[in-house]
Amino acid sequence: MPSMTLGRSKRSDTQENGKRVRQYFMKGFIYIVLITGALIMLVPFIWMISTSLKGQGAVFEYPPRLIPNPFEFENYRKAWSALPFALAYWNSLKITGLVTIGTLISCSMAGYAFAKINFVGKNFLFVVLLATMMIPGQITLIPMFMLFKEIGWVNTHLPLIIPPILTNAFGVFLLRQFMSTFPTELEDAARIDGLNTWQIYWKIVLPNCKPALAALGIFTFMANWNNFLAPLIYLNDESKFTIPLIIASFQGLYTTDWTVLMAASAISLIPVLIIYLFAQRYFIEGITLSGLKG
Amino acid sequence: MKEITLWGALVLSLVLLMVGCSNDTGSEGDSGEGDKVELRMSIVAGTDEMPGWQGIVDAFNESQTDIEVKLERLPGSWDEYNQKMTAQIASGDPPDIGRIGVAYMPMYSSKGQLEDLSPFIESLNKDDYYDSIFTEYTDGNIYGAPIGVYTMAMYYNKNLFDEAGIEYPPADWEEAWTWDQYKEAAEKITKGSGANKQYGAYVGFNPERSIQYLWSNNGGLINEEMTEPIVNTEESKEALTFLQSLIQSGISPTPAETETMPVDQLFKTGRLGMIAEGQWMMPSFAEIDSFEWGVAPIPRSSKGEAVTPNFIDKYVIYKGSDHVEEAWEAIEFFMSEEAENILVDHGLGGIPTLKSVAEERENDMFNPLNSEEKAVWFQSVDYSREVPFTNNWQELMNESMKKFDLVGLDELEADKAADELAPILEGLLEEANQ
Repeated sequence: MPSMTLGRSKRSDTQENGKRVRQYFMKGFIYIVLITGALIMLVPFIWMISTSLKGQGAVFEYPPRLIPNPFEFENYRKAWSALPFALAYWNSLKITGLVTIGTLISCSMAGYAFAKINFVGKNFLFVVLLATMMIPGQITLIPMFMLFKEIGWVNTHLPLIIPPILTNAFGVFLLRQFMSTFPTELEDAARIDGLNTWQIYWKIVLPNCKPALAALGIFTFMANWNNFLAPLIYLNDESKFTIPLIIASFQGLYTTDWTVLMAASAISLIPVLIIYLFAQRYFIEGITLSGLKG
Repeated sequence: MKEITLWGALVLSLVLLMVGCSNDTGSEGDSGEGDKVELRMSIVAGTDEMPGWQGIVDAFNESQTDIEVKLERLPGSWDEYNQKMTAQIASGDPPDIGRIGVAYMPMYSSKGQLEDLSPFIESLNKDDYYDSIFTEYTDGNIYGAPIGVYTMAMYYNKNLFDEAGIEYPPADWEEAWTWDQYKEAAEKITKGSGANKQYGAYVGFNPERSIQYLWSNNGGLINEEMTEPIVNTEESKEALTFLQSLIQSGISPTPAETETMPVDQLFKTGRLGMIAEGQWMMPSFAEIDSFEWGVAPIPRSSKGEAVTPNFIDKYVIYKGSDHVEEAWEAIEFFMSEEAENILVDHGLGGIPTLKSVAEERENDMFNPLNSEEKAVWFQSVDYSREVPFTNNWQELMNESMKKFDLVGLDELEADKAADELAPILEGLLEEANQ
């Protein structure tokens, strides 16, 4: 493109200028759209932090005040000490951590098999797997509960850990789609160099899957960290409760202390934020990776 | 190789953790030491209610040596509680004792999920308790033991009354304000506009909060036998039209306005003159320090008496419990003076079912009201009526609110809404009575 504009006349210079102005406008426009979008996304978050620092009476003040006056750090202390919050935090971290790691391992193995290994009934099995995604969770809730009751898993963390790892059809689908874009030549080359299937999966496929794994990891982490229904159904002892159950505890049947509720929510968000910041690197890496390939 | 070892370590640690998890549950499961019968009691409650509930359970466990009740708390609302109970009942592993909101009792009773308590309740000395709190299900059995009586009355902001130069409403249910007096006072209090508007009164159309107006005019939503809708009778329509007129004249906020500003917050911030609500709001309103407030009977139609709905939550024993006798022993204790006093200490359960406790503890209940206003609550029990809850009450509510929301927004005439709602209710009642 640049070599062409070099040989152009003055008229095309003004054309070029117009183009540049238009580009600036475009860019400005995109920035405005993005900033508005970001602000809209941020408002609930900021509002949560703001409410969590307000006094009880100030929550529904009119006109609403973004910066609380005075700051009530007391809410955080209340939230943290009102309940076995620290214990619930540990329970949630343990469950979510295990589920996330387990999901990444099991889904990537299944995904690799569906994408790259030929075996009898592969397509049929894949369709069956996808079909399981169509069944709403509410329908399987009671049968699952009966099953886990039979094997003595009720009131333990196991039903919150094992099923999400082994039944994540979406994760398998996501990774299969990502892996099937890998050129077969890459694998052939590895095989010629003497790697077996296992080693190819471990040394070639997985490292190239980081962006997809990061995405799946975040999804899994968030879904399980915020999961309310399953812990509610399976756990009876308060000492085994997870964060969402504890947060719901700040809600009474008739009235709710919003300030403490928001403080508790803010505390519970920290791991999600950390995971996101950490995994974001791989998202960006993913973009450059695909750029190289394209 | 290094990665493989790492990977192996991960899997191994995963497996170990799982084994660890299942182990410590195994040891916990059979911890039934000695001959003590262990009972599970499951309730839904916020943390602020727990000291009271745990209090009566601890008192029971200490009162005897044969039975140990373990209290399990569920966070959330009745919906979550019902969901969890459904799962546990279906799997054949329900808790022994539960607490169920009165609105959900027919749902459980109709499915045969509760033990019949009538033989046990027969053995109680009923003279000690308030009348008509032991309610039978349509099959004649009693499936729930009353915990306490919640009623509704009219909270009002005394400062706003003073400012508008209106006398406070009388505290005697016999002399309750008529609708005209109520509307006149509300009109005087209403002022301003926009975001700082001050409202005279709040009317919500949710039948659980407004049925008393229909009753007072000799109408209602469905008849007491729960066989026919009566929302489309002249009396009911008249009451609904009156309520809608409060919205049309700007005295009451609309459902859209209370969506952004919860109505209890509207009252607490001093922008609402009068609101009909239950005793359950007392702890929250007791926090108000910016103005004086009081409690009065709910305004009545000039054609009828003042009346208020009552809500009596129940202790139940779930079908499938292996220890029905022992579970009743616990419930019997929860209905004793000792336990009811503990609940009063923590401001739970509403008006105690035992007359003796209600009378003795008058000074400790319903503070910061004065004794005349406290009497409004105690007297309300005699003016209260049971809401005719069906076994598909939630559906009934959903369908009703689809019409009533439009009435509240003034997009549908109250008359028309009632006419449109009646056949829908009829269909739902038919389903319920099958």
